[in-house]
Amino acid sequence: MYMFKYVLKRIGLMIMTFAIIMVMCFVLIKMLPIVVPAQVGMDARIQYMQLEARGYICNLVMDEKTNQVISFDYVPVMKQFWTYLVRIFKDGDFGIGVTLAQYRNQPVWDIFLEKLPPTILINVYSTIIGVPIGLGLGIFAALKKNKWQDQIINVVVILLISLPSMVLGLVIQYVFCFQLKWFPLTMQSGYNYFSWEMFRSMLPAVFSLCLGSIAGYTRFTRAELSEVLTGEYMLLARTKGLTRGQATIRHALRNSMVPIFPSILSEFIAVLSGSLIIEAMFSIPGVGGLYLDSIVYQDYDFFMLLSGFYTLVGLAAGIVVDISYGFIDPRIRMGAK
Amino acid sequence: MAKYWKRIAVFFGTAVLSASLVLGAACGGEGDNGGNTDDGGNPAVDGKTGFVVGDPEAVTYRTYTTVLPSNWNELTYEDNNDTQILNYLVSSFFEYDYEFDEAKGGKYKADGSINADAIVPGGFSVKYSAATKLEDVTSSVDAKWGYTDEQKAAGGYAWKITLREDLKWDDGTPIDASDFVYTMQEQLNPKFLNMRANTYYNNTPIKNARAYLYQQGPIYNDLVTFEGEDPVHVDAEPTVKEDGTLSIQYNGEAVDLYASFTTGISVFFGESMATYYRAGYSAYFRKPYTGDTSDPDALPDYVVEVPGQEEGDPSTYYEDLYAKWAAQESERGYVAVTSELLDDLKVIAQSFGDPNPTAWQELVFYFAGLSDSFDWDNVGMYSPSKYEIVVCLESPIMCLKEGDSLSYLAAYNFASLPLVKKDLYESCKQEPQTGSTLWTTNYNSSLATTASWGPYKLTQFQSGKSYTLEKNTNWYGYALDDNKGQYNIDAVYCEVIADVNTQWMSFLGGYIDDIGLDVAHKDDYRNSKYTSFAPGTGTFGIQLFSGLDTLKSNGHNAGVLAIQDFRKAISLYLDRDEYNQTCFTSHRSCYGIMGPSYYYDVENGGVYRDTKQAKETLLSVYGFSKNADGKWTDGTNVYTDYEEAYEAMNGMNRTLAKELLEQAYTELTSKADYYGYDASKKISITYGASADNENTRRSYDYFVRFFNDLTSGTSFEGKVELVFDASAGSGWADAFKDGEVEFAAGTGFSGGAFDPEGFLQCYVDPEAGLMYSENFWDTDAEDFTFTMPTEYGEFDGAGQELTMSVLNWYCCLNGVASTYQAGEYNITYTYNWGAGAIPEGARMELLAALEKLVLEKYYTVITTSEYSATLLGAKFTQFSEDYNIFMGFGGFRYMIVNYKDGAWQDFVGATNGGNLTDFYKAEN
Repeated sequence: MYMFKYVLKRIGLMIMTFAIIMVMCFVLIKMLPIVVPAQVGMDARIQYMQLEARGYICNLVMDEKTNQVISFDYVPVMKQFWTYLVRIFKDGDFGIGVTLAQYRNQPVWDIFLEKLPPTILINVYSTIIGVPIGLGLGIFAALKKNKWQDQIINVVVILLISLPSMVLGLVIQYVFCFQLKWFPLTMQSGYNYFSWEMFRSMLPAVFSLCLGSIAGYTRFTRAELSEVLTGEYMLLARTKGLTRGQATIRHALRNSMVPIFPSILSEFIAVLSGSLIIEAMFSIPGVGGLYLDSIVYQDYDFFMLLSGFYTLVGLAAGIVVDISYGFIDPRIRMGAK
Repeated sequence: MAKYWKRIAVFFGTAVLSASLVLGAACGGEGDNGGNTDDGGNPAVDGKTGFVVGDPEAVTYRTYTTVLPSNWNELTYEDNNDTQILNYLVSSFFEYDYEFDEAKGGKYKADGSINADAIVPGGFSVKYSAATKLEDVTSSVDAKWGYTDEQKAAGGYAWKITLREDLKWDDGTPIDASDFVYTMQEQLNPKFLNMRANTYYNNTPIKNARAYLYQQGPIYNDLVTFEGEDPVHVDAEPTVKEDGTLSIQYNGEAVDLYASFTTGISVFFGESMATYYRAGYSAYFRKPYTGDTSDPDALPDYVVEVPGQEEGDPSTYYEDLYAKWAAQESERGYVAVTSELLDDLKVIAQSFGDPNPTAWQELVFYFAGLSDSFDWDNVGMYSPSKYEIVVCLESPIMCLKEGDSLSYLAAYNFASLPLVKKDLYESCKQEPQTGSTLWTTNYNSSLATTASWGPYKLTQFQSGKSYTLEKNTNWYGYALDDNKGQYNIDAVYCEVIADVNTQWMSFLGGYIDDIGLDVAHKDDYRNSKYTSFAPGTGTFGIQLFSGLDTLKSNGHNAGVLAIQDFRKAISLYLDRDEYNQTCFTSHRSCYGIMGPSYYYDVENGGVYRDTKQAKETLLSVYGFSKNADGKWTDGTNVYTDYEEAYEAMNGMNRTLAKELLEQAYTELTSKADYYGYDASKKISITYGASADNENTRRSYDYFVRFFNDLTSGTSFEGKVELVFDASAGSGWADAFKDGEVEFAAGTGFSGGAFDPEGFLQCYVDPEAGLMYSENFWDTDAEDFTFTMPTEYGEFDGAGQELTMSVLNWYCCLNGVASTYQAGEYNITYTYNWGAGAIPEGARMELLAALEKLVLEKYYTVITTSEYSATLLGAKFTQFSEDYNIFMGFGGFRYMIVNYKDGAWQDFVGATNGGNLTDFYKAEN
């Protein structure tokens, strides 16, 4: 019951926070001056009249003789926001791309849904491969602490952590794709995401992403487990007759998972936003860069949709992570007095 | 204990499984794709090698793009990127071809292959393609189009295009003239405000196209009418409504009164009060002071002459009515008339010399509702029969030469008219969203919404990833004799590859067939036999912000940029060759505002930059002078003629540059307050960039070194710093125009290759919205004196020394100056010196003079002429090694295939293990 109330309370707070953030995002992006790029051979009048027809500006005054814009006013931001809300809740319409060159006149929701799967898949594969290897190496290193196995793992971990994913990606691409030709240089085109060829074409990107994660998990697990292994209750466990393996698995590993598991979850959610560089490097049609582009080109509907999505995911992740503590460690009960 | 081991087993089992999956994938065999597409409709690609698999006898051209197009709709496309698909999907009524020398055997050899040896260098021809006949019907079209006898005699206004009868869409649906008329109606549909609608009232101006597009706008009619030159005033007094605005009885009903300072009115010959105000008539918009005049010291100091008042009369004081009321305009630029405004309008009317107490009526409007729907029948495009289109133009285009052969303008202006597939287009229309009134369309934005009547059709498209084009077997062109032996590429596959390293590995691995040469690779591949260089129209340089008021207030202490000597020193010190080699791949040095790709006489290959006028202009700008004996000198060397001097010119005079710098320093320090100079601070010139990346940093670093060298040993040494700023992003141009940054390198314009006079708009016409200097150079207010030459023949204005505004000179040169009459209102007389109106030599003289004027402002220091360098893979060969302005190197149409897909894969595999790096470094 405590947990139920706690979750309800958190959800209520989440909705309120979400609403505040969305209003701020809308107001801030609308405060930027509208850029109307004049190009040779185009009529700026049409561009401004389009902005007026879209409800972004009003009171457009053109000099009929010179066809130049004399002045215009911005439609009040909150009025635009109200129209935006009506459009979403009444029509279920998140808008269309206007200024992003790759997605003009395309429904932003459809584009987002089309581009999300590659990003998610890359990161799921990265997590599936990275987590067990990272945890396994971390456990192994902790158990072999300060021995030569631990030293080797530490060196590799430091190396991998030091190198940004773009460097790892370049090395992987050059060695395995260009020189050895084990993989294609870029991700395959198409929507058959679960075909063998598609999976193989994703692997260079997956490796580029997960090597860093493996190093991170290894280091974190080793540190946490090493600390837990020195706890007095571990000594007690051994004195009551458990073998080292039994004590490690029953007590040490589970306790060390309390900080590790939420970090896995939050990292997975964080990478939903995609990796701009890795996606560009391996030609992955994912969402990486979409958010940044929507700000640079002031594509309002894309910006608001992506802002809403990532804000919601981030807030929801916070709740899920908090609740997950209770499952991992029964001593933790959220909302209990 | 056992259950924990099970968990561990599962845990590590997952890891092992994942690892096996990876290993298996890495070592797996080749894919089993049997066809040339996978079951998702995508091109089947070998998962291991990345090569397209399928028919080894097919020919696929693989290329890349950094941004995939989204909108290849002819009606709405916005930039050149969108045309990368569009160009394959459309056909031309008339198209360019090489000119083949019949004396050398003509286009085809005896074996049917194309005779490249017979190509006439620089030549071109224009041939019928989707059209079979073009007729000038100016003299025979309906009288409703309003062509005068003179226009009918001259011709070129109305054209009848006869279509081929076998035109089809890619699905086999036939195309006829009504499809083109329907499409034009949609192009100009006011609900959509299509981005390319202006093409048909600006570039190829169809009669009434603009009126059709802007129909249903609000109508504000003049309150007075005219009988001859006499105004007929309304015999009624305005009445005040509840909200304080005025109405008046007009034709039996009360109409609301409005005034506008920005909209044209009859009494000003269609001009607005704003135009008069800005044209030096501001005094007419000022009101005599009626308040206390007992204290002369309290009176404002801007007493100016007003008709009826004596100059400098201290008993009068003038309130600026224009500024007061123009600021209150809203709702499309009108303001409702109130009693207060009425009083002021009476003052303005009297100031213009009309004592009639109702003269104010000539300055107001009444709202007459929205304009009627403009009848499509009054737009100058219709189809008199199933396969004929008639296009009536506002201004003539001479599409036929003597002998009725096609001129280059036929293919330039009438390459095609827009065409959409009616049923598909109608289904793609999207109603306005909530809060919007704009209709949109997703026609030609995805595979399902795309139709083609060109040589290729879209067969695969994945947003943000790739597209495939394959031959359109319903295209009429494959059966044409003129196309025999051409179009040998079966499919085009294009993939988004944004990362430069990936692009290069793809090219060097043989996966893509072309790549643009970049700075990082130019040393390796610049001399490769696979590299070709093509000139472009782009002319770039350094923009220097020179608006003193802004420079004084923006806190950068950079008022020195307002000193012309300082800017000139930058120009004279710059080694353009070194700069271009350092910062660009293949661009070349340039000294004039137009590079070598601007033609004043297309038919005869006349390049502006090669004219005597253009060369002598640059010589005089860069410090050469002509001696009495006709020889040229730069002060040190003497050259026998302008050609020799031009060859020697490099735009540099570093000694003079240092002297100019000292003069600038003296000017700056002697008038420190005037320039806002603070000697205790560094002069901080902000280098504006659109992004902080390797390219912009390379250029920035170059100019940091440049300023250090330039100022070394001068009074400016150690006092000037260049600060990098990419914070404005894509809004960098506005940031420069507003003076937020003062220095923008590698910026300029391109396009308009056949209209060098029109290209001047980028530098002198603020109405074009392109001028970087628009906020500190008022070309409408600056006078320029020039004597129109007489040696080229007689024309209106020849031999006269004229003084007009710079903008007016530009307008006259382009035949777009307004045709006001000199006389009562003393407005500057203007001339039509547009193309064809006066001898071309005289136009060149004026163009060169205006170019010199622009260059000597040094608001722009021209540095660079655009050249692009491209490596074409060994799978293909360009048809010609010589670049042709219309044909390029032959393009897709003529491209020679060296390897089919299967053979190419074998070739790459057998060449250095699939690494073509050394192969492509081979020089000629």
